[in-house]
Amino acid sequence: MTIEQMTKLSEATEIASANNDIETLKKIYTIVKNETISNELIPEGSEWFFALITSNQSIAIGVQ
Amino acid sequence: MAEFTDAIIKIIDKKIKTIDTAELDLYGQLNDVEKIIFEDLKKAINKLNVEGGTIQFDEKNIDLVNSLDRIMIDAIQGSTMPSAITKYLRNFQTISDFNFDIHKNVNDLSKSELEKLVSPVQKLAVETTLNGLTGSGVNTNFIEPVRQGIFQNIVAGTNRTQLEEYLRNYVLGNPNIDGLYSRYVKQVSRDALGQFDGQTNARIADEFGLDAFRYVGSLIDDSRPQCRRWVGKRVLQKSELQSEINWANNNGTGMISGTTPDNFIVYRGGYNCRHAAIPFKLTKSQREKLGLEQTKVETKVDQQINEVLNDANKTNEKNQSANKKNEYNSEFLATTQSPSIQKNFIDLVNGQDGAAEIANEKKTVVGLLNESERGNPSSNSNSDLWKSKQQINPKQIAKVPSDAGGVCYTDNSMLSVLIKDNQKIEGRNYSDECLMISKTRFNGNKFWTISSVSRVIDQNVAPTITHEFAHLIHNKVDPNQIAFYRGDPKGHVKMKDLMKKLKIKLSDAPTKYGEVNHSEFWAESFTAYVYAPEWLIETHPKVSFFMDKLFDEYNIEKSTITQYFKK
Repeated sequence: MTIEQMTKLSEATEIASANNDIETLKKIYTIVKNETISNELIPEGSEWFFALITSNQSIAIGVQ
Repeated sequence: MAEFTDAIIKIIDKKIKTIDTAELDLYGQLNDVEKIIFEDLKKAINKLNVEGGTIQFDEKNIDLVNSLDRIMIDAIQGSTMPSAITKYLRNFQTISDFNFDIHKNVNDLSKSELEKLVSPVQKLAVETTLNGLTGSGVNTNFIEPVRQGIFQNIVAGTNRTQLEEYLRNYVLGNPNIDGLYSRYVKQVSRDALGQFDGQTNARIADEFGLDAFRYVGSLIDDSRPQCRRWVGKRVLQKSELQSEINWANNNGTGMISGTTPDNFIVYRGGYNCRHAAIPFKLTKSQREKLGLEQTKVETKVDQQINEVLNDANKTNEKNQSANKKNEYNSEFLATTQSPSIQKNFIDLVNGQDGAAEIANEKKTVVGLLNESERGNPSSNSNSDLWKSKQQINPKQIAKVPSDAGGVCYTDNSMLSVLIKDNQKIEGRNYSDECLMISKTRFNGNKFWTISSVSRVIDQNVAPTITHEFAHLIHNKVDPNQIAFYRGDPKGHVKMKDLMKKLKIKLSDAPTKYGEVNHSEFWAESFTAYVYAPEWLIETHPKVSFFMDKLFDEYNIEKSTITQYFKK
């Protein structure tokens, strides 16, 4: 994934989280878990999100 | 799937070389032709009448000069030029044949379908070039200028030597500049084949939806920067042409003004460009081979990402929209107060369940004004600001000062007021402020300022609205109460009669403020009836009973009050 894509995903995650938009968060999760993410590309402030994803915790990003 | 194999590249190179060679062959004839023309002209001018060394401008000489047109035409016709031009024009077909071969291999297009497409383009190009190299083109651009130059020299009093020298320069040229005929022939023929080649490929690309170009041609020391760049890139996608043209305009040299993605294939790297842009369809395997396939994958992920971002934004907008319903629309705020006071007020309203929504729905104007600016809407003593807001909806006005009391003025708004449960009244709280208000009401300063009930209720805007709407209900069901305010003792006839009948006094009001007059007694009791009915029964049973009866007297359906004020 490119830095632009990561930044957009981070933005989408932030908005979806703020609105408790679980459906969108699930879609984001689906995209991210299928992609290779370089740690250097993770936007500042969204480490928590991508750390959960990359550690294969399917319960990540509030998907409950 | 064909690719740009070495064999194909060789064909393209041959095509480019053909264009170069064709022009050089044609130009190679020019010196000889010009010499013949010059010699024939020289013979002719030697026949001109001369007196005292000066060529005469007489009838004989005029006729002779006019006959020079034929002499020049014959000189050209008698030279190798006609066969050179014929040979040159044959190259149009050669270029087409090369293109047929290239596109058969690269794009799997048959010669027959290409011929139909290219033939009209070729015919037009040949006719245009032929007309330029012979006939009217030569007459206008070479023969006429020569003849006119001779006349001008004669009129100016030239002698034979001077005229011959003029013609030598004009027709034969010099080491620094070509003769006129050479210049004209080169002008017509230069890039005629190259641009025809471009037009052909553009037509093919357009017809078959070819979306990429292979930029081919050898690089020499003085090759232009853009040609070096494009040969190096090997493949130019149609979608990137504009940015490439921009690059060339900013960093390159010799670009033809007006080059666009649509005509790029014709103009290519600029004037006299010796490169070819061969259109082709970029297939999946070619994308992979060229490292472009990743872009396609990224596009798919990009789409997914854009979709989730879009979804997230939609939800956000939806939530914001829902929140907005619960936020008082500041457009309805009539105020001269500072932004912080406005914000304070709006925050207060927004904190009320349903209050802002109701106010917005009813377009309730709220005045947040200084004491001097406030007035009783019913007495028409309003400020200009107040009046301007009244125009929004003059029948629905609420006025609440910054400490959340006020006046409502409408005729039917109460049925839309929605106040949720769990608002609480803590009972009477005779604060200094409330007492002060009560005391000063007759001074006319703060008469409309405070509702003592709402004053002591947490988040008191909603009860304030209820209090004010209670006045409105009163206005409607007992119009005389307005007369009472205006000093008419006949006001509140029904209410006063019932109070008398049930032995209710103003001092029985559930709040101190309710004691000030019958109107406030009604409004405060009404608000308590809505917000704290149990408390009202417990602490002011007579008032609770009285309000039940008064509602009956006014023909107010009590369930309506519960329904609309206590949802």
